Amino acid sequence: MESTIEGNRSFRFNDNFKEWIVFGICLICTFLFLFSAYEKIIDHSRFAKGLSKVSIISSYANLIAWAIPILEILISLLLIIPKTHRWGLYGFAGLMTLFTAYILSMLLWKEKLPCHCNLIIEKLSWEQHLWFNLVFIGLSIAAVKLSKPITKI
Amino acid sequence: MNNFQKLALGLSVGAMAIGFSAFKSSENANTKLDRAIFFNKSGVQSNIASDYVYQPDGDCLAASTACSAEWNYTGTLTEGAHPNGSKYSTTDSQGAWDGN
Repeated sequence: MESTIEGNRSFRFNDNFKEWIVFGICLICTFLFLFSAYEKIIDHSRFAKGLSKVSIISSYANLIAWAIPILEILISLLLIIPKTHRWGLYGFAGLMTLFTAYILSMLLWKEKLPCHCNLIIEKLSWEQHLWFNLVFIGLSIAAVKLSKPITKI
Repeated sequence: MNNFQKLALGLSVGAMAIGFSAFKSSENANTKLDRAIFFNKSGVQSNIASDYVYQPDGDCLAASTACSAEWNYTGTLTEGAHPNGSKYSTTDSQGAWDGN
């Protein structure tokens, strides 16, 4: 009986710990996206101007310059609301993957690199920026895995 | 921690993010008048003002050389001008100036 209780306690502790880890990652991701979104909206003209210099997306620069911060805000809201945080994590990982693919393509094809990074990462080089994004993608995927409900066989 | 507490904490972090971003933005706006990005002509980081020029639409291409740095200046900036103040950035951002 004791061992069962101890086993249960241990199991509950692990569950709580996982929940805290997932919640912490959600908060970090929310902070990053809201910080970034606010700056993209406040300094919208600079952001749109930079995007217009990229040949592939230049014709949609203004649309993208609004769509990205709006998406970041929506994903942040999903991350904040406990019942939708998994959707938020999927969204976060998806958008960060898109950003990373964009950086990677720019690095590979030696296009112009108009950096509109937010202030946290403005000092990073493009390679460091790539690693920064990969770490956040990894964190969000880890959080999705940890937040998966345990299925009993 | 229940869902309501999580939501409250999440909203607090969101407010902090926006507040911090606003603070940094206003800090930058206040320094705009006497600090600007100058592009490195030589591609080698230095503290020599004549190595750096002002170009409003300048950009950095992918490369691992020194490309731009923030310098303090006084007066009105014109294209091609060199900084007349001290260097603010400790390290140059990497790239290759597209004006070279």
